[in-house]
Amino acid sequence: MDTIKNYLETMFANMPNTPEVMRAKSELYGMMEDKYNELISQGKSENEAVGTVISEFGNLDELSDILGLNNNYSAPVDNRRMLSMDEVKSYISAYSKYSFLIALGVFLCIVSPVCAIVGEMLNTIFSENIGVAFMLLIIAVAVGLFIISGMSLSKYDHISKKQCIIDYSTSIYVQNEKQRMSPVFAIYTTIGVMLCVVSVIPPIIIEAVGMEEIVDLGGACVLFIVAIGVLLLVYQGNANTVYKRLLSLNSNNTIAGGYADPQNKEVVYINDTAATVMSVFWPTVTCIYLSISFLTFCWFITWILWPIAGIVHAILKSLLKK
Amino acid sequence: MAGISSDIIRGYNDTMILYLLLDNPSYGYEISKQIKALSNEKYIVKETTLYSAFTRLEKNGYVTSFSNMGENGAKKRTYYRITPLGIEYYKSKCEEWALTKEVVEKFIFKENL
Repeated sequence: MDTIKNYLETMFANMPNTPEVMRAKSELYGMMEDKYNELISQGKSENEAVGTVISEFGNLDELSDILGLNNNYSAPVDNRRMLSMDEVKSYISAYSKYSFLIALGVFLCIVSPVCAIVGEMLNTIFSENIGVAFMLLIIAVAVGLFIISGMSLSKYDHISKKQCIIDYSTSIYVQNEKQRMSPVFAIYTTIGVMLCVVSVIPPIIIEAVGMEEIVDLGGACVLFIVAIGVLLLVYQGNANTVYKRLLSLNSNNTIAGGYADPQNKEVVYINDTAATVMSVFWPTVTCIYLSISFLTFCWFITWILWPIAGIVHAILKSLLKK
Repeated sequence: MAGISSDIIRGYNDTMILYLLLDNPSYGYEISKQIKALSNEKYIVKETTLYSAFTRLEKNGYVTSFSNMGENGAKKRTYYRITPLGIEYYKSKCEEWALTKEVVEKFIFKENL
């Protein structure tokens, strides 16, 4: 009987878990089970029974109509808007552009003090003022980028604000894109973190060789390297969200049936109180941390609160989880 | 002997199912067993075919489904019951078949070639 169960699971492995699919699976299983039991009671061997049941199962293609898995299936489910494949593609590319603009803005904000530093180093009559002016100019450009990026996504507001759904073939496309991009994002993350770590090297070298006159330049280098690192991190973080957001459009909470990654399932707590406690856990810890630290000024030791809180959180989560 | 072409018989799965539901409600395997028996094992309906037929019939209002414990009480199954609309549909399918048979029959050789 396990073989039949496995067979059915395999056949349905790529299907979304909509109520229609769940029902079809359980009904088919019921029929196969009946047939199997009867064959066994007729004295057939297990292998023979399994073979007969599987050979008489049929073809899942026959079900695609009734399960609504056809590509041209676009009947809206209770007012939710069905996003077309083209819409999803353009949303992904717009989101990628938006992520880049945001990351660029953050980059500019971080490097902007470099102008002031250089201006101060040159130490001529106006250089300091010009440096500060440039810094402000760069910040203004960054703010401009933030505004533009926000506007560029505004025509896709419905995807995040109104309820939309994507059909099965689109979800497969998004899933594949996500998989295709994940090594790229992993590289960005790695390089980003590495840059942040190595950013402290220039001032160390400058100090080691004792070039007093360009010691400020070391600081500028740090900012510049960190800025590149942060650019990569911010870009990949944002660009990655789009796939998760699209895939979660059909998650169990938004529509009956999910195309969302099963690994990304949200934790469900035993009751509402537990869920509330868990949701305010980290803000509470932050409050406690800041209160204690400001009251005692023992910043060098209060950090110990975080690992402790981490352990407590893990314990609470496993205790209160459904 | 050539087997039954599933393309041809597809249009009449509904008729067979409705016929078997005329007297009393029944469930998936029971119906597939009866089809096999009544056809002298010449036609074995596939599970997927049967399930898609049930769903289609239900959607069109020809049958209704309900959950019920089997006779032995051990297993919960989905039973299907024919509706008045289903009976009408069944009758029209029977007429359709009579006509189809009459027409196709004219072109079938009775003697060996």
